[in-house]
Amino acid sequence: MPSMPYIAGVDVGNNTTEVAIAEIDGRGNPRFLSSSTVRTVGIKGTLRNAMGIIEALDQALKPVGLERSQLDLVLLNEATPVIGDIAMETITETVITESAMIGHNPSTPGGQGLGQGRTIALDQLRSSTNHQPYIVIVPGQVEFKDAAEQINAARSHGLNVAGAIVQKDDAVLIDNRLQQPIPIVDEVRYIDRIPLGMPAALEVAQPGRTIERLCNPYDIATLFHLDSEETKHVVPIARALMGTRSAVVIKTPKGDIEERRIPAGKITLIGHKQKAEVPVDEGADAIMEKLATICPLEEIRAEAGTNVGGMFEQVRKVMADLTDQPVSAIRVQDIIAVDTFKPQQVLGALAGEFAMGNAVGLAAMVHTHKLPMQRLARKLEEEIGVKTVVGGVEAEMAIRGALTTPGTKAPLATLDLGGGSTDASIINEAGEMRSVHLAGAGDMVTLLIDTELGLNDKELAEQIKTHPLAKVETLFHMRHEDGSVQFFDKPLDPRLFGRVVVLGDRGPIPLDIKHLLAQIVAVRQGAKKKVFVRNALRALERVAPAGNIRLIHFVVLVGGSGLDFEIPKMISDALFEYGVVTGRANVRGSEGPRNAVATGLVLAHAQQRRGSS
Amino acid sequence: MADYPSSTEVRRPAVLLLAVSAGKIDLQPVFWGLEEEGIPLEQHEATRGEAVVLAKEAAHMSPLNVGIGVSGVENKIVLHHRDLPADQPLFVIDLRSAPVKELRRLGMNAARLVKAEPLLLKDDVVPDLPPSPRAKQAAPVSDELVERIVQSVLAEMAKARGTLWKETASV
Repeated sequence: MPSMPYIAGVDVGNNTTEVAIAEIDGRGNPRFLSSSTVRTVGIKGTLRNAMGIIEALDQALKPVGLERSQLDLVLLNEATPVIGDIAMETITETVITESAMIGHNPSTPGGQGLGQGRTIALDQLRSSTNHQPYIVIVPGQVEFKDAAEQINAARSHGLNVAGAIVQKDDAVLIDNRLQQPIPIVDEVRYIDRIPLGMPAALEVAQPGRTIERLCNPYDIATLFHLDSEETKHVVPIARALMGTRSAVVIKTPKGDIEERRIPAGKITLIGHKQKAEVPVDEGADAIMEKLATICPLEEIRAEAGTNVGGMFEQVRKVMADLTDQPVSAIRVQDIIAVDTFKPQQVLGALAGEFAMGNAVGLAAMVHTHKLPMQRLARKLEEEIGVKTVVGGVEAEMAIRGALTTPGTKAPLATLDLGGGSTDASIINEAGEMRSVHLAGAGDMVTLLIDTELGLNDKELAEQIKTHPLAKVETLFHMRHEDGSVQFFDKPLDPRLFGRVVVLGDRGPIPLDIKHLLAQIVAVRQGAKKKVFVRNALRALERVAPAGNIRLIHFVVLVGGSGLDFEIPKMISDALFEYGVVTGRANVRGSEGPRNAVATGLVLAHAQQRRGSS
Repeated sequence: MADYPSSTEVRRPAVLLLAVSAGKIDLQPVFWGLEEEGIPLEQHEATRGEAVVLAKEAAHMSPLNVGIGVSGVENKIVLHHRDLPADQPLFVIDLRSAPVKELRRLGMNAARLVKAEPLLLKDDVVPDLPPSPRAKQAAPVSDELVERIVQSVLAEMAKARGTLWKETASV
């Protein structure tokens, strides 16, 4: 009796490569033996994928005691030929060419209230006889005791010292040694850049409060006697100072402060009959509104020579290289735009302060005829000596796999929340399928988190995206973001103490940023909502009968993002309003949202066998 | 016995420092560190004991659960917390080699331990001042670098030509 054939279904995705191993019995029914997931090697559709596939095959075969050579057939997905790219387009930028403001949160400023006067170096205080108020600048080489003594002495000579700006972390120490308290801002790193002899105002708020005067343009105008035109110019300063506990504003003679709007380029949306242009700097909502009106959308172009143009070129070039087609044949077919903000180092700042620039995050997607999966299949066949065929369209396979979830039956829609794209497919009672691929998914969420928190660390942003946070409150316990407390037998690493940590797979990672836990959670959840919830609705609208989501009754989530600890709930909440039952797939009753395509490939093949025998 | 107060006495909230034979040691920076962070410190003399043991004892007696032990015999200063195992103090500093800065940091960390704020660690590098935006320096350019750039530009150009040629050929 011939042994039962062993079949492997392989799904190469943007981020993961998944394998399902099954044996086919005499009647053509598959029995699944094992599955595996590894990181995809190289860009999806390239020959380098073979390495990842072999690793995934080995991982799946090992626990069931099989060798690669015992496989009879490897089925490869007909990967959807979509590729996405993401970019960040800054719209506004605060430029302060003359040093004019300090707005930061030293952990311990001194004194409180508002002080106003001309800036003066500490060592010049002694020789001054003027009775106008002064703001004293204390450089790092001066000991706090000397500084306090000199200020006290100056005051006893009748000088009016209204406040102090200190380079080192000495504000409380100086303040405690003064006969009369004054507001003091410390930890000002670039103290030597402060212009001397200029009118300045300094404010320190009570603990637990933020400044009230220097973040209001009219208060600044009052303090410095500004006219309406000048007041306009201080708006970016006031905005940058909002929410800080201490601040300094200095009026410089040629203080050139402006909020520049950066020409970000235009996007042209070309539909079957219509055509529309939207400037990127009008923001994400304007872009998405226009996009929704143009249907069916055929191509999206970006103005050459601008940042958006550059990004579009990049996507098209990668796709052209991948598919061996000329760049001119590649069209961008979908974009998603998201409003975001980007902390930017303020030019001319004195303590490394940031201003929030507005930005638009863009994800673009290109669709071509075919990825070179045949080439990959041949390469794999050579490497492992097992017959490899490309079978089945990815979206259809995904639906087949998803339908193995207990409690589901057609009609059914799947949402595949991947790394590069958000895909939706639908199957009706008659077994007809329809699918759509939209730009923007997990990678874009990572980008948003990375920029909005100013991390400049994609790995860390990825960790923040996929794991909950906690605050280490003592050496022995942390409070999770939901408020629950976890105690530990052994003391925690002192590096974690007092910090917000990401509970990563390999233990807690301390975050070296000043954001509060709640702020980081808000950024994370905001990014997920902006991308996934919006895209889920967009995608389902496109595949729904008559474009009406209410006519879809069941939606299952497949793909890696379906494993996320909060995205399924967000989407479920959004779809609940439409009366849709939403849940995470449980492929074959055991695999969760993973392995849908690999499973579907095996099922489709088994069905073929049954049909032909 | 030591002449510090017994733990049953009512004490004001403060970090406690127990010192033995520390007459010659300048502990001022430790006080400053705590002062800047706004947490009071009380010092008491002990007659004998190792710095680690004193620190642990001080932590037990401090209403804030944070103690510092100093020994002029061992030339050591130790920061401890009530809940930590006796033999696992948070920081141990050798006074013979420690700069003033480090003592002040120990004081700040004692205060931050009370306030549950991130500790200042030795390996935290304070970022260097970035160059003033008006005084941007050009990076030094070596001949080798120029050579490499020229080579890569030429290579790119050759590639571009190649594809162009291919395209025309295929038309």
